[in-house]
Amino acid sequence: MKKYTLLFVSGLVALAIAACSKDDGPSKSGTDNASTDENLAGETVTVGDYKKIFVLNEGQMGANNATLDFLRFSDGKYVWNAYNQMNPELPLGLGDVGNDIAVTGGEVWMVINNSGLIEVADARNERHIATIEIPTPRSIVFEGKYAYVTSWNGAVLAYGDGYSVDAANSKNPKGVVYKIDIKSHKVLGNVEVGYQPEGLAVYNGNLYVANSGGISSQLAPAYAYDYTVSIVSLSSFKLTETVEVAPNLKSVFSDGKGTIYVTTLGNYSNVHSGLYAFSAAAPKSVSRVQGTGAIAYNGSVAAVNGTKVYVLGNDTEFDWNAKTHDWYIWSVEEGTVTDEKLDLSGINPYAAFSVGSQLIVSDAKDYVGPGSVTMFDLTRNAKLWTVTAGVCPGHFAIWN
Amino acid sequence: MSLLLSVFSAGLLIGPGPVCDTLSIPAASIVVRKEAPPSARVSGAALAFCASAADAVRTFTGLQLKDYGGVGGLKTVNVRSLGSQHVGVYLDGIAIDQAQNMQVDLGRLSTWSLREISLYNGQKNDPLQTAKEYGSASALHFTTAAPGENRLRARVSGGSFGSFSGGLLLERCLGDQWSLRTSAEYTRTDGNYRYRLSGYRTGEEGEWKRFDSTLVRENGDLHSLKADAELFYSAAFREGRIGVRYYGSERGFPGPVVRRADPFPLSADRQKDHALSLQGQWNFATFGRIYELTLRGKLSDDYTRYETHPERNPMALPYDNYYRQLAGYLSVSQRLRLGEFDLSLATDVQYNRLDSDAGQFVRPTRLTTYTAAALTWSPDSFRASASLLHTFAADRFDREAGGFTRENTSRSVFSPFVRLEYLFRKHFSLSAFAKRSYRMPTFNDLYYTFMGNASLRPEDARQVSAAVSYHSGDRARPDRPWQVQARAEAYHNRVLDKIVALPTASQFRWTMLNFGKVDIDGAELEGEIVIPRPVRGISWGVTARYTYQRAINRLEPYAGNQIPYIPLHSGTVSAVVTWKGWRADWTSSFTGLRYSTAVSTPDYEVAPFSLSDFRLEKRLSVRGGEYTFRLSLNNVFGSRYEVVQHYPMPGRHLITGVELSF
Repeated sequence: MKKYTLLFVSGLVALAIAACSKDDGPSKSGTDNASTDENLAGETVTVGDYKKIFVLNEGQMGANNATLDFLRFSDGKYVWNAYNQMNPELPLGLGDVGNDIAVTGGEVWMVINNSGLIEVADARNERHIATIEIPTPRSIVFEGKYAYVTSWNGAVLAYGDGYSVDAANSKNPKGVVYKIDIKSHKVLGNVEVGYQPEGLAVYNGNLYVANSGGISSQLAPAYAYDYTVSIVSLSSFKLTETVEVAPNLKSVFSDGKGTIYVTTLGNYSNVHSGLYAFSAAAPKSVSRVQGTGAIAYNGSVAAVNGTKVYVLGNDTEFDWNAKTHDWYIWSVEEGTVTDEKLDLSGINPYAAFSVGSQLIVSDAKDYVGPGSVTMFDLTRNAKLWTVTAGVCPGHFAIWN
Repeated sequence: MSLLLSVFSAGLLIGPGPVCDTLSIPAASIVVRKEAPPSARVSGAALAFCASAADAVRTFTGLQLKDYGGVGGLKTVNVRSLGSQHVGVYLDGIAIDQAQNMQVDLGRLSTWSLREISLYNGQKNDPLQTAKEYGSASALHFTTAAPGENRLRARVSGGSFGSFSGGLLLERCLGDQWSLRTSAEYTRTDGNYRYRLSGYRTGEEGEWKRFDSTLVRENGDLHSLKADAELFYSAAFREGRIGVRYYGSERGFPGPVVRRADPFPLSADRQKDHALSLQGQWNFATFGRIYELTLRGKLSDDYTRYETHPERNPMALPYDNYYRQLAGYLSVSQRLRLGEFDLSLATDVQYNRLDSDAGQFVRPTRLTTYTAAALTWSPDSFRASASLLHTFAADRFDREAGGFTRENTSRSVFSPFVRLEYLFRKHFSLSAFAKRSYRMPTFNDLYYTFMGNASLRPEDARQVSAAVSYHSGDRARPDRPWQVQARAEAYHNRVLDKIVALPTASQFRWTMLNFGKVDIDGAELEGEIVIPRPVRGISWGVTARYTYQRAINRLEPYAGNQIPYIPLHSGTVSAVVTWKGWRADWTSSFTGLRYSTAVSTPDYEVAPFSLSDFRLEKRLSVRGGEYTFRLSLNNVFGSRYEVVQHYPMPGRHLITGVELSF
């Protein structure tokens, strides 16, 4: 994941948002911003260092309803469904199941899983630039001149229009990481990793890939989750090491100081979800991040900000009655856990994203209707605003 | 006095053929006096036109057909917004059982040997119905009749999208008391119909831009074979039938139309089915029909295998599993007639088992007992009936895992029903019913690997309904050749403990929960005028139907919105004209705006559509045989529409066929 250098973090962003929003969230129409002093002369200055926060709404599998929203800092507007509105000539829009989003060099890259593509758009106006075809892509990270994308791959051997499939291995194939040239949008090659790779992160010339085995776990004969992180050397683009962590890995984060954090979802019956850490220097010694005793982390909602990793969780993921649970947020820095005591009442967290001292938490509601996006100020422990989003708002990226 | 012998279908225009030379009177005609009329019915020539049972019922009031398109697409019905699992589907009085998901695919049912399809809200009031039927929120009946004469029918039809169907049906009278019917039918289609994606969207600076592309539905082919044989016995006060049926198919699932990278197909999913059943019934009457007894039984074996073929579609999640359902069913219904009173007692026992090679499958079995008592009191011009059903279901499964604990594996519910009918001024009737019924959680709800929740309660449906109807009489008089009939009905339904899928404490792990609550207010209007006896060789009929359904979700976070896929307004108009062996049939239907999710905002709209079908038939008698030529022009105006979002339906298409009967 790209490490954002956040220059004017908390104060200015809070100011920018507070200045442009009403109590119930960013204003939804231009007239809300009308002011009697708007014609006074003045000089335009940049507020903060970002232009937009993009929100990729996953949509529902088979419903073709992934959408791109954004929050524009210049006027504090939250805009819905920007990509489909700005590209009306594309018959089926963005496709479905947006699985990741990232911004590089003025381009926003959207990973659309069930559509089998990465859609590249201009960050200024969300206009289509390129489509990169990748079978079942999952997550993306940029490093240097290249983008790296995890893919379940479906046993695709040769890539491209005349692709072929390893039929004998097609029932339970391993996943790959594709390497893409950022400038030309061309796929350069791939490297095989574990089963159904999910998140990935870069640190010190290595790629760390979290393998889930989410599909393998449903298949004979093993019915087993993957439990490894694959380490790929970026210089040789080869798998160099496999680290055993815990079943069903989801996200991987680097704190930029040599610690790699991995969230795991567990096996949903007797192995709990959790946050694990290992040192890039000694990857074999993996430890579970302790700090809250018996409370299990729900490893699915996590965000990284510089050296800190935020994890949201509740008391158990084994409750089959899905009654309301109290959610907790923990921030982890150098293995030390701090309880951030965020008031998440009314929110069932679906995804989290850290911006300076703010934390964005989304709620997917019933997972088929519109969800919501809420911004918290961690320093003041306050809810800043909530806005309606698309279906399953799950992924965020900053354009700065 | 005739009690509402409804002629909802213009099918009555062509009378039945001569009957076998037997002494018996079919049971159905005896109970007519006691039976509340169906709310919709189709029979005769109108039924013969329909490619499948799903086609035949789509114009019924209050009924929503969910259709994924093409011959092979799943077709289920939902009556009065209660959900398809609340509709009991009966073939000759015995429920078509689907324990896995309780969704009966009407696309599988052939209309060929059917005499009638009828829909009953609440329940049919047949004193000899099975106990199970007292528990359906509504009942869709498919009825076949004993052979009327020695007859061989052969037919072929074909048309658009590589569709072909051919079949033989043999009916024999074996002496005075026995008769036999056997039939076989093969159907194929390529299902490669074209669909168009086009539309306007707001672009930059508010201008409108257009996209327009025509695509072809792929992987929608189907081959199916249906075969059955049924033996009938009929004597004074006794009749019985026993039949064996087979249905086999191999088909592709084209999947929803979503954006997909060019090199990869949308779907390579295939499904194979084999279903075999043995079904029989025996009816016995004594003491001058004061006492009657009906025994019914069924054995069925239903195998389905679903494969996603990842070697052909690398985008597919690898999946190759079979599901096999075994079921046994026995029902005893008794009836005692005491003057104006009619007492019924019925008991059913049913066994279901589901096997699969899916990972960590728990192989559930279920034993269900249904016990019902019903009383009907029918003095002149008034009828009151009440029934009470007790349903008890006990499940067993292999092992505890995840949410499958052995607590709460048995379920017990009572379903009461009351109906009142009052006839006045000879032609009018008022009727009302109230019913509380349940649908048991399906095997999928309870035991689907990683998602099931073994402690679900049955879903609770409550209905209150009142109707007024007018019928001009079932016999045309010389001075009044026409018949008119009209019906207006209003209802309020409530669904509680609705079984819905929701995420657990871990959002990556979903489960089924009793969570939903829906309030439904509906109205149905229906009017028909028919000239059944030809005037200058021409007879005709016109029917208009309108359905209003306000079905409001009471479940947060979207409380107050219309539930998905239920239009506020829908209706049909159909007309039929016959003249010297010719018959022409026109049906237009309208389905109003719907929403694909629980949120009624423009982002989730599914466009309204209207659809028109034209059918033409000509009968010719040639030396003791009869030829029937048929032509169906479906979707005459080439409407582009979707019943289920992202499953485009076929445009204009033609089927022609000929049937030979001798």
